[in-house]
Amino acid sequence: MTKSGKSLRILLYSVRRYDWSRFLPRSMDRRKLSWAARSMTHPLSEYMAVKREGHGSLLLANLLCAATFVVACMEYFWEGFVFNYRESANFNLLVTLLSSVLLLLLWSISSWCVCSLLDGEGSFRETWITTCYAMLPRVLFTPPLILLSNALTLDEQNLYHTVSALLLVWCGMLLMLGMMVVQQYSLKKTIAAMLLTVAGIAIILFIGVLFTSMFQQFWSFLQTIVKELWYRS
Amino acid sequence: MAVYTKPNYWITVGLTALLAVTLVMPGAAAVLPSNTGYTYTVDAKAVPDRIIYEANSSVTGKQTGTENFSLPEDLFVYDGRVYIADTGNDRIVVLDNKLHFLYEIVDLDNGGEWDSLSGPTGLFVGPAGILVCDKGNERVILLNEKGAILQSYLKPENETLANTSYRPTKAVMDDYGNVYVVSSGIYQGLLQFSLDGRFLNFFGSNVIENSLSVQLSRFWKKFFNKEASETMSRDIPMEYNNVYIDADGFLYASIYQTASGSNNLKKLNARGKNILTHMQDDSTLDRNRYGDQQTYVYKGIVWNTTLVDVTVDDEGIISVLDSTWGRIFQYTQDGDLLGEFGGIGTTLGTFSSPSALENLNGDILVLDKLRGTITVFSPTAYRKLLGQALTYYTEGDYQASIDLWRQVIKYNSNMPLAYKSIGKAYMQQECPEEALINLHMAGDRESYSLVYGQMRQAFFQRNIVWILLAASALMVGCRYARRGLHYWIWHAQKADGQKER
Repeated sequence: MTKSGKSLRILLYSVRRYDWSRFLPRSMDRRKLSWAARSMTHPLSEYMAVKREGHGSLLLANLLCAATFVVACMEYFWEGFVFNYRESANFNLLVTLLSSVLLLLLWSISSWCVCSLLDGEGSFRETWITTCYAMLPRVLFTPPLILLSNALTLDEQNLYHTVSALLLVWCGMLLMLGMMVVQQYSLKKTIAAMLLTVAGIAIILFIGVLFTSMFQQFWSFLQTIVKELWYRS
Repeated sequence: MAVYTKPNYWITVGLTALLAVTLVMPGAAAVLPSNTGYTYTVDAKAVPDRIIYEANSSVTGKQTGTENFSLPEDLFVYDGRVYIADTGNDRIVVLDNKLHFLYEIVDLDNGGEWDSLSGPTGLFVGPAGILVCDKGNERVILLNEKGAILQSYLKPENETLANTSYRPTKAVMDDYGNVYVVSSGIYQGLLQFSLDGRFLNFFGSNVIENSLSVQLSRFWKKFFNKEASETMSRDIPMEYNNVYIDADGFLYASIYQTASGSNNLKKLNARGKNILTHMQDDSTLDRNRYGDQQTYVYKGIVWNTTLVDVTVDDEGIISVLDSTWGRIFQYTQDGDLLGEFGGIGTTLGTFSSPSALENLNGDILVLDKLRGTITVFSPTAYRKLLGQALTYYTEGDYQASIDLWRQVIKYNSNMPLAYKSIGKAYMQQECPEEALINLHMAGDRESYSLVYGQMRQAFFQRNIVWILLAASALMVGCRYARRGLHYWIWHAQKADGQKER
């Protein structure tokens, strides 16, 4: 064997035998990565394992939540011109953040609230982990789809739109199965709970807006009083 | 296995949610457009632009050499003469092309008997004679120059019109003598008459736009009995308010305000189908909405563009008149905006209540109903440049057209039409790279996709050998690389094991 072959071999071997786990957080079992990947294709058993055998990772879930935001940004800027009707000058960080991260948060909070009332057996931790794991297909397959969209023309738009719709359907199925397994529901009850969750999101948003406007009014009231005192003193 | 959880994740999650909810974006402030020119960028933003026409003069009836006009509703130019429907004075006024009074039609000869007009609102002049919408007398009449009635078009005997009154407001006649009448209150479409006054059918009917309120009322009507649902408001299609016929016999019809604001101008072919549409239906700029793109809410009132008249010149440039803002918008046959001018105001070149517009030798005449004036607009140098660039393109002189459009961009770098035209000219000259850049700037995805597809195909044809070679090399390489990797690692492990032992 040549000398370069030998050095490459040594390099590869040292990479192989290096203890990479020190870069993973203490709680993070490396197998959790493969379990997460498996949850895309075997959601029922894997979500059950998240619930019963501790296959879920909170860190991974939070990273996935952040990744949905990154993917949304990538889509905004890098999706092919032919399919992308967004103007990069009109990019709004807040709206993108709200529509990716906040939506996941609202969904898990609302579904946790609803399912607690409907005899669900899931904790918030499990709800949050399965909700974020359900975003895995989108996070994994949107970047290659974005690359593809730059090589396609309007003639192939059906292909592109079908694939992206299938991705969404996949994510939706995972979301549903996640709730079903984690809360130990029947299919019918899951669908009902999902509809109630959507209503719950609307209620949360409404209360949020109400609170905001009330707080703003209260704040301006305080400001007026302080101003008045300032003028009179 | 022990699961390690951090309890403060919860707090972070909750706080982030609250923070996000409390951030409410400020509502967009209603901004009324000023009287300077503006145009729309690719993403439908109004930006300042050069004015394409400048007001030359404004004449009243007295200044032309007759009585002042009283609430004139319509204007028509034929054979170098300007015809005005002087609605309030019940007469038709004829001026020459310098806007000097020639004669007027007041008394009519109805088969030997005296007759008169009553509030004529619409006017069309063709080789067959002068077509007048005699709204007060509920008829459309065809007159000769002397005022003799050649033919009248009365309310058709049609059961769908039994409860509707016939108030014809505008009419045109095509080369075959068919007469198309717009009657206010009749929503079935344009009324089509034959030359001899027979009603043929409704032409170019509008459809009810599908909207949320329409769906809701349909939904509720399912639960009510017949009496109850009859008391509810009915959803009917929008009616036309003006019509124009171009040299090729296509009808252009404007609609006041549609529910969605789009499709307010139609070009109807012989079958009554709208052909003034863009294939592109998903654009940020709603290209089937003519006039102002924005809806303004000012002092609690919704202000939308209201098209009241449309005219087409010899080059096929469509001019539409928006009575809400008193503006004239010009479009190409593809529906691309050239520019706008006019406005509501008291100075020369602005109106109080514009009612009609016409082309006269390259100028544009606009009739102001309340002031009773005709304002003459002449094209600016910028507009002449645009016209020349468009002409070069249609004549096939692409290089000259590109040069002129580049000059246009120097005047106005926000014009999508300029980039689109340059891109298309490069497309014709087979410079795909240049074409792509310009079509991208213009936001023209269809043409972009076409050019890109051709480029992609050419690339594959040129490099097919290399692509196939690379693909097979990759496949083989992957196979052997995997095997080799395993072999190497296995060897290394073996060697390592021996060393450790």
